Amino acid sequence: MISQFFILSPQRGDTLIFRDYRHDTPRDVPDLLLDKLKTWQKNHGAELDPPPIFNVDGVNFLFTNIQGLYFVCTTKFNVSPFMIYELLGRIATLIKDFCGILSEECLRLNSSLVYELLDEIIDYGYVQTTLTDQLKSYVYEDPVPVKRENIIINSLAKLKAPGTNLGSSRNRPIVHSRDERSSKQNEVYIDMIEQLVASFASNGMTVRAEINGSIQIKSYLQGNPEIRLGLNSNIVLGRDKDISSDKYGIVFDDYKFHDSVDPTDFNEYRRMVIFPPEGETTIMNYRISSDVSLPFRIFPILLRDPRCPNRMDITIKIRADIPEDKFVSKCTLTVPLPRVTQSVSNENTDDSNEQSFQYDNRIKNIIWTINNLKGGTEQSIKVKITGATSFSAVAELEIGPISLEFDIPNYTCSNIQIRKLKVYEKNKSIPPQRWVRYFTISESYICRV
Amino acid sequence: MSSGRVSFLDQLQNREVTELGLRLKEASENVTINHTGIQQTAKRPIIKKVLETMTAGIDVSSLFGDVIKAASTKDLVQKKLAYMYISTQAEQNADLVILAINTFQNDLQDENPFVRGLALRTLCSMRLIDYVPYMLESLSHALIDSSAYVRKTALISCIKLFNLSPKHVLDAPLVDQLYNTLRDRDPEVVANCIVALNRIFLSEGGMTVDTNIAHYLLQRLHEFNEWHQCLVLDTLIRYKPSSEDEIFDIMNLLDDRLKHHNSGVQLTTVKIFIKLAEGIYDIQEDVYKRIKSPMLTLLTLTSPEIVYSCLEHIIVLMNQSHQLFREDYKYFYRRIKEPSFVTLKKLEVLEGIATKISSKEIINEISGYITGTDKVIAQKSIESIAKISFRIENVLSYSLEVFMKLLETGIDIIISSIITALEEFMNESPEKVGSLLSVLPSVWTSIDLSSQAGPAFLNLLTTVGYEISEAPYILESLIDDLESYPATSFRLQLLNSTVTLFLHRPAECRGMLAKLFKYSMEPYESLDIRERALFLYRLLQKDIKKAQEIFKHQRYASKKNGNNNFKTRDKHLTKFNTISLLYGKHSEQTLFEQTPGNFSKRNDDQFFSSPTHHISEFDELISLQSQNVVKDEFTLSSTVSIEAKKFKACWENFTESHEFEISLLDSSASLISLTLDDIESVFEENMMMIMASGSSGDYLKFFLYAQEINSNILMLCELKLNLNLKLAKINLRIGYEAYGIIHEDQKMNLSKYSEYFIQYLTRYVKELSNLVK
Repeated sequence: MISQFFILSPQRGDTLIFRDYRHDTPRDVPDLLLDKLKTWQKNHGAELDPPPIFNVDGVNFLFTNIQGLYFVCTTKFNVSPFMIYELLGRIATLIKDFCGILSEECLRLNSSLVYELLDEIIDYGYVQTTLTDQLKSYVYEDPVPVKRENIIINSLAKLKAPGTNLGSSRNRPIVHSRDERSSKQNEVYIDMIEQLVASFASNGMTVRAEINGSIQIKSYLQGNPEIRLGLNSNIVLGRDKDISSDKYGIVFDDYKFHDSVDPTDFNEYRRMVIFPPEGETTIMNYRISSDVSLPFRIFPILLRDPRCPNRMDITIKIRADIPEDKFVSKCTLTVPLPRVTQSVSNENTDDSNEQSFQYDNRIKNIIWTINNLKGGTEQSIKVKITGATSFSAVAELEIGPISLEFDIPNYTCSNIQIRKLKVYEKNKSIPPQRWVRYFTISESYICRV
Repeated sequence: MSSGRVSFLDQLQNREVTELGLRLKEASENVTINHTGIQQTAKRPIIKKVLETMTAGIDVSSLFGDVIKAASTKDLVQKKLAYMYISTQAEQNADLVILAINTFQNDLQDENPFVRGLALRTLCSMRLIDYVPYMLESLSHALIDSSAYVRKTALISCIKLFNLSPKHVLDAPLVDQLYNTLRDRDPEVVANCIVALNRIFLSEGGMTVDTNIAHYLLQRLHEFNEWHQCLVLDTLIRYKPSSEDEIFDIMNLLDDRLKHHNSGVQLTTVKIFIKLAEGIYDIQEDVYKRIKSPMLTLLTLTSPEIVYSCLEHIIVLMNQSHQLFREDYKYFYRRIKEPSFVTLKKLEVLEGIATKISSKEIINEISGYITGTDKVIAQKSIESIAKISFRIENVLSYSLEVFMKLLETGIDIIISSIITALEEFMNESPEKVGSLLSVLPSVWTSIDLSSQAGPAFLNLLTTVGYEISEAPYILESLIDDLESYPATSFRLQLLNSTVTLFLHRPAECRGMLAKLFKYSMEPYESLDIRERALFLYRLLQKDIKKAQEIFKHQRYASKKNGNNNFKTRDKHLTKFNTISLLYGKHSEQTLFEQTPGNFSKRNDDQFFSSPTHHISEFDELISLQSQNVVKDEFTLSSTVSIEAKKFKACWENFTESHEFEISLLDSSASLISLTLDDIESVFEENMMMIMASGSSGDYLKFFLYAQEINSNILMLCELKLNLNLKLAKINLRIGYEAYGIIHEDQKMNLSKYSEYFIQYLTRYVKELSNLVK
């Protein structure tokens, strides 16, 4: 039972959207939350994120930060937190599906469309539906497109956070102005995304390697046509059950499907039938933690000169263990340095356009960026650091962990691929456009020094 | 100046609203195409503007009549906007609502089911009791409407009306109609019907779930959308299967829900599984294993809020079965981009699941978080390593090695936290810690002495590290700079520590001890410090042997709080998949409402800081020496309340009684000026409640009572205070609230707690003389 839903823009403290469903909580709750967040920051500093739940005067606030905007539900009841957080995420996706993009500007322009949506999603605090097909028939307002320059600002913001700039070409609403409908609409995008969680010990050993995979679909197809999708046949389901000596393959620790998927054939043929709702949906999640071949190795070397205790040399080598025909478009290494560090110099003489190097003295970090790193090649960097005082005997504890951020297009770390893909659409002369893409991106890829 | 500005703003806003009204009246109903190519009526943008103005908090109620007119239109967007305005503004314009009834009437008959639903929803969301009969009538038609959309809207409207006027709804033949609707062919209608029935029968614990209904819902479960599945499953939790076979059937039916894409559905299913397995001991382990995997998958999701909630639930499961997650510890390692609230929870899990085999690996991983920039995580990481080393044998030396290395970094916050942790190790393994303390002289200047690391450092230095040659000089420099360390806890520890060191190395410490005693007994010092100094002084004066004996044993029982988890864990399981579990141990039933109502409760303060009073550790130390009992928590309840009748009954029943006197003569001040109110407030602030008070003859007389939380023991007290003679006569009785046969161990408790109560009371009676200043 949700009392209110609202969207806050924290910078200026504006309430962009506010819907009161039950009128059992004060109207000024957005201010209450802002106060609470401000007090938290004052007491704990900006770096410590507040927990996503507060209770102020018996009103529970559950919120999530999506693209810089706070999506908030308030309730006076002891409800399921999972349901509320799922709902907040779903509302954000729906707004994106219906309006094209999610931004402050877009919400201002399309507020009445958003209110229409909210009224159908929740009635008197009870969730009714989040299915796009259903909602489409209840929503009458047309989306107002955000002007060009704003899109550029928006995509700039996305570039800053690598890994999230997937499919920016698809930022258009699922509903178009009535006269704008054309055959161009007839498209489906399928993205296979594998997020890597990996860490190496200082001796180079792999401490953990884990793939969190998902198959995402964005459909502009009308009338939920059937899609048949097949994956590699060497997938083994369940770590405990299936493993025997004569079975090799990619072992799924766990996996789950969206409601729109009929997975009856999956156990036997690794096939599934999908009836994708319009808009963006994650149709499958899986998790792999055995036999993961990691795409990068990092080799850090520290050198100290006993005669100059305030000097240290750091050499970092990175090797891309991916097939030679693949490449990493951008790869960023961040290395924290000891607190007493005063200056840093980069000794690489062959400084080409492919690499860049930065040092931030405020947070004592070096950032090394490599563009277009080809599979099977290596790059290295040598850095001299100087401390304000001499480095302590255990200064290497303060160096690292080195964290790596990357984005490898056309590559899945697990080797899973979509082997079959068929769209069965009735009464359509033009076959629908299908776009399949693969990405491997870093979720948390670190190396202790 | 400022008021001028406000009224100017008001004027501006008024003008804006009036202008909107004029434009509404003039605008035509004709459809035009605007510059972006969208078809709309001329009124639509104006109403939009009205709503925007309303959202900005400006009063737009004067436009009510005009907006009602705009509601009867063929333009559906405009109709929606107008209805939205009406539902929010109806209460302020109750007398004008009659104008809208005609529009409602027409729309409820409209051929478009969406319009019928919209009109019904808006009509029933007006909280106007006069219109309830009209609403009820519309409702009964809508419940048998041909469109599922209208039917489901009608069901939610039922709840609105019920909250507005339960009597009207119960008197109408609605409830029977609802039970029939449970068998509706449309799943959304069924779901809303459950919601409505749950609300109407809330006082009876919600809708009755018998075998028929339970199996009917289970069969149809897959038809419901994800949100309604949450709801249906949540209702099914109340169902009690009649046989084990039925339990297994249900588990089989629900098994695939554990893989559902919506974590809400997953967790509700997990809760059902736990509930079903409750009775059957053999399958519990298997059930826990079954629910583990989906929860680990949730941890890999990118929504930190869901990960956070999931971790809280894992902690509850972990307390239930320590084995469960022990092999999955790597899932709880930090990810580089996750928010700190997630990392903190992960550390809590790691503390609990570390085993002999995994602990070194885990400690090594955690030690990597300490040198980062996040202070809170650094502190928590150190604490976690300490906790793991406490619980698991043979890793202590490894942890100490890790700590030693970190101490050398010279980073203040790390050193302070490690010192605090080392103090806890001290009790566990004094030899190992002692051998490491030679670093103290080189790092102590980096310790933040005003934090809890201050007392910890002193205690370490003098209890284990008394052989360090620099120890007396460190203490002396602190005593010479006493004004810089005003914290009472630090000062008390300094007194203890100086005495301890004096007992070990009298020659070097005599001078500074005398100095410290002199400073500590100055009248401007706080009562606690003065008392402690006086006590130590007398102890040393009277019997130095005894003092040595006491201070040798000063490593009092470790601060670990027993196994409280075991008592509370079952309670936590019932909170599964609710918000209250996220609030952890602080959660109070009162935070949530069963029924909607007014919102004036103020639970906030209580929630964020529980006002409990702990008797100081030193007092326990004394009783520890004299009675050889393990340390108990002594915390008085802040919420206890008993009636006069009960007080009297208890007073007569309690057998444990004490009579004694307290003299306030050592205070030079005259107490005559004290009033009843002053004294009462002292007691009340310290959780001793006043039953009655008054003056009789030379005495002020009080009846006090208090309750200790952990033992539930009640204290009743008659206090007679003679202000002229500065004498308090006390008659104290303690016992258990529920009388009956008292067990042997309870009797033991009683005598133990009577000591605590006497000390506690004495302390605050003495404090009365401070009031006069």
